[in-house]
This record gives sequence, structure tokens and C-alpha cells, in this order.
Amino acid sequence: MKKMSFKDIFVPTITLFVICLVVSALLAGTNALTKAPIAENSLKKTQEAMKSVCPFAASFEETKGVEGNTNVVYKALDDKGEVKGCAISVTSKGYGGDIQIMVGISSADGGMVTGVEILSHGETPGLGANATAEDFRNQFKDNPSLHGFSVVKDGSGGSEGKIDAITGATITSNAVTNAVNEALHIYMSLCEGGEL
Amino acid sequence: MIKSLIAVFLAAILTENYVLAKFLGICPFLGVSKKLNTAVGMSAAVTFVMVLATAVTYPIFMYLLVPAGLDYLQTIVFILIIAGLVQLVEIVLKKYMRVLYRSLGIYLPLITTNCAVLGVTMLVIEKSSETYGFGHAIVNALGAGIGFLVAMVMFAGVRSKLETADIPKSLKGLPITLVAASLVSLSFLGFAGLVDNMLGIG
Amino acid sequence: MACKGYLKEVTKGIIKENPVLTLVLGTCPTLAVTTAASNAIGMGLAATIVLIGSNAVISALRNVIPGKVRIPAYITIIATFVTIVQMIVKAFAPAIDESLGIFLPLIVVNCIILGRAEMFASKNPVIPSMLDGLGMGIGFTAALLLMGSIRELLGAGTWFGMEIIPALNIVIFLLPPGGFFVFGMLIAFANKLNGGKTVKNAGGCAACPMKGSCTVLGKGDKLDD
Repeated sequence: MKKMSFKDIFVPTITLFVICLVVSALLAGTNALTKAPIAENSLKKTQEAMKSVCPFAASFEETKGVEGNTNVVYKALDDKGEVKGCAISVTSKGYGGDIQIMVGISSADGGMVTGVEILSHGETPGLGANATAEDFRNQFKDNPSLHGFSVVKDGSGGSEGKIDAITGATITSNAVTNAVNEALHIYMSLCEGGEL
Repeated sequence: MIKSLIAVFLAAILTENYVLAKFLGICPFLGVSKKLNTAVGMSAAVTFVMVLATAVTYPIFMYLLVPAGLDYLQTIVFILIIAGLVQLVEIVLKKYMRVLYRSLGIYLPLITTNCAVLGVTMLVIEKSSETYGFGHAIVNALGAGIGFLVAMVMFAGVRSKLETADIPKSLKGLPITLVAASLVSLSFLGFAGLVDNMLGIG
Repeated sequence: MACKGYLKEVTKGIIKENPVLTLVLGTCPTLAVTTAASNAIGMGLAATIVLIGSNAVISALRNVIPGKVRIPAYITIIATFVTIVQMIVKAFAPAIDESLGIFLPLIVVNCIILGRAEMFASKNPVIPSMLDGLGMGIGFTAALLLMGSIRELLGAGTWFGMEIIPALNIVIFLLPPGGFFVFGMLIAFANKLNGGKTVKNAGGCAACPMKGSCTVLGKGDKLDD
């Protein structure tokens, strides 16, 4: 092998170095410009989801969740600052990866689900992605469930804790239902602990 | 812990197959699957680089980029690390492991632009949480590589049958290959839910 | 002449050298994001911006970058544009970011972009390179839009989310097998239009690092580099 001359090594190294320097500066600049809107977007999304699942609340306050799976709990306060329920964001495993959902629970009837929103999911369009449709999500609303929700396939969902599965997407239906049950569970354990 | 590692591993091979369910690494899947031995060689090289790249990029992202607030550099840092690693592996193999180099060497340069490698390093970061750490990431990368191998080998078998088939003129070549790929991926849809139910998770 | 020449740089990418349907480049995003027509537009636009930008910069620096390190240099430049586009999309169009997911950063390894850098931008002046990028981008977008429209219409009966034929609900077209199948049929159709000739090789492959062992083109179609 021919010995490389000083120039052969030096010129490419310097060129690459300069390119990387310029590139880093450019990226840092773009990041500075877009950082605030990106953070705002995700905050806005969470807030909109909280408002939609807890229509009774005037403001929200983040509070300590429970140990274990990823969950974030927000106390739902009315205009006098009294706790009227909570919005809980939980994650469960669907068909195409994690599904993150927000569940609103009112303390008025000892823990009634007031709304469910899908924050993020990787489900199949046309099948599991139909979980984002109101038809499916609204089944949880004002549906009394003493022992948690369960998925059924006979079209009797919407009452007595029964939830109609999405056509062709049993895994997704189960995942969302399990997540809502988990949220209820978290709510119960927070109530018992006197934190809500 | 072991159970969840097995679940991650099997899911990466079957239900979340990178080629057939996630559409990553389609170019080598269509390009290098004509013969069984090249398909196996390519997949072995991809698996090796996937695991190595994940082992390097995961700690760099978690312990260097995130604490420094530089996570927006993820794409550029990862692709340069992968390109560098591929070069490094090539040099090391050439110098110290001639036998392995002779069988895998020709596939190595192809891997830098294989989106499955960049894909797996980014997806494990996306998945990472309290319950999904470095071990899961490595197992996922290994599973993704083996899933790639399974898809390639199966597909090579299907293609060898196509060789002798009488195919309409316009469908010859790539179109019929894609139709065959469609059927192979259809068969993988059957694995839905299998892993979780088998191990009693979820 | 100049004007006509420029126009040619744009139009060639749309039909004659369509990156997806005749050169068969960038297959991963073509299959993955085309479950809806709107995704196709988002992906196509993002890739077009990256193509124009990276082509312009690489062409401007074509005499500065030493041959030995040109690939790492190109990858760095392309990755920069991808990251910038990614941040802008995240900030101002979060819905697109969500639907494209990982395929937005994966534009980096899209063979179309590195291919055009190596084949065209590294040999031509800035303006033609940008126009080449624009043409290839439009061609890519058009092919994605076609795929996305077919799959969305057959799979969900909608187009850009509007209901067209509510009775159509063949979900398999939205699933991976449907993606492979529609893509195969489109290429067969493109072959038919090209008079039965198989995939034409207009240069995109020379830049692909896979050219040595790629069998997509079949024997006899290989480029001599």
C-alpha cells in the first residue's frame, strides 16, 4: 500500500470537520427556533385531551401517580378549586406498539369514566386505528362498571361495563379497555390513599 | 424480566417483523433474496450490525445526547455512527477474521443505507421507558435481525419456485416478486396476538 | 436553449425517470406511508425539500469535497436537511409528524436522495441540480400519491379523508400485503406503458451501494461502472 501523504489525510479531515461545524451550527439554530413551538404543541395536545375527557373541570393540576407502569395523573378542579375527579394518562400495548390514552374520571358517582382520548398509537389504519373514532370511545362514557370494563362481540356494548370490540381489531379493543381499567384502578388506589 | 425479554424477541421476529410488517429494509429484501446463500449472508451481516449499532447508539443517546439537550441531533449522529461502525467492522474482519470476512464482507458496504438498521436503532429509543431498558433494546435488535433472516430465507424459497413459473409478460421481474412478497407478508399477519397470548402477557 | 434545458431537468423525473416506478428507488416509504393520500403528500413534500436542499448544497460544494470522503460528507449534508425538515414539521405540522412517524427521519437513507447526489448533483451546477431535485421530488410525490389514493380508496372508501365510496372497505389494501400488491401492479402497469421493457436503468442504480449484488434489474441490465 502506498503511504498516504500529509495532504491526503489533512484535506479530507479538515473538509469534513468544517462541514460538521457548519451543520451543527445550522441545526442548533433551527432547534432554537422550533423548540418553543414543539413544546407548546405537546402541551396543547395534553391540555386539549384533558379538557375533552373531563368536561366538568375548570383547571388541572399534575399530581403524583402510582408506582409501576407509566402513568401521569392530573387532578381535575372546578372553578372553586375543589377536586372533582381526575384525568389519567396510561399506556398499554396494542397491535402496532404502545397506545397512550387519556381517561377522565369523575368522582361524582364514585368513579365514573367521563371520556377517553387516544393520545398516540401505531395501530393499523382501517382496523385498530378505528379506536380513535367516537363510536368506540364513547362506549366508556357514563358506563357503570363495578368490576372493570370487558370487551364483548355481540353488540351489547355501551352499558353494564360492556364494550363492543372494533371489527377486526380485538387486540386493540382489549388494549384500550385494559388501559381504561388500569386508569380506574389507579384512581381507586389514589382515593384509598387519600390523595384525591 | 426473562418473560418480557422473550416476548420482545419473538415479537420482533413474528408480529413486528421489520420487513413484512414495518416495511423497513425492502431494498435488500427485494434485491438480495434471489439465492438462498446470499440471502443468509446478507441477513447475518445485517443482524450483526444491528446489534452492534444498537449497543453503541443506545448509550450514546441516553447518556450523552439527552443529558446535553442535543436529542435533536439523533438522526445525524446515528447515521454517522452506523456508517463508521460498518467501516470499522469491515477493517477488523479483514484483518483478523478472514473467513468471516470472505462470507460477509461483500454485504457490509450495503448496510449503511439499509433503513432497517437505522430504523431499529431509532425505534428502540422510542420504545425505551422504565420497563424497557438497554437489555430489551439489544434483544429487540437481535430479534429484528433474525426476523429479517426469516423473511429473507422464506422469500428466497418462494422466489426459487417463481423461476420456473409461466408469468404474464408485464408481470415478469419485479411486479411478480412484489405480489409474492404480498403473499408472504399476508402469512405473517396470522401471527397477530400470538406472542402475547402464548406468554400470557397483556 | 437554457429555458428548455431547465424544463427538461424537471420533467424527466416525473415520467421518464420516475424514481419510484421506473428506477424502483425509495421503496420503503412508498410501501409504508401510502395508507392514505394525505400521508403520501406529506412524505413527498418532505422528501422534495430535502432533495432540493441537499442537491443544491452538494452541487455548490462539488469542487470542495475530496472524493475520498464524499459519501460521509453527503450523508452529513442530507441528514442535516432531514433533521431541519423534521424539526419544522414537528413544530408547525404535528399531525404530519405523527402519521409519518419513523419514516420522516428515515428519509436520510432513502436511496433516491443519495442517488441523485452521487449521480447528478456532484457533476452539475447548482441551478440544474436544484431543478433535478425538484423533478425527482415531484415524481416521488406523484407516485406516492397514486399509491396512497388507490389504497385509501379501496381500503377505506375515502380520499383525503372525504367519503367517496362508503361501500368500499377492503381493509387488506391498508395492511402490508396490500401495499406490496398495489406496488407490484403499478410497476407492471408502468412496464406495460414502457412497451414491455423491464425496469429501465437511467442511472439511479449506479449510486446504489447494492448494485453489486442487486438482482432487481436482472441479468443484462446491470450498469458497468
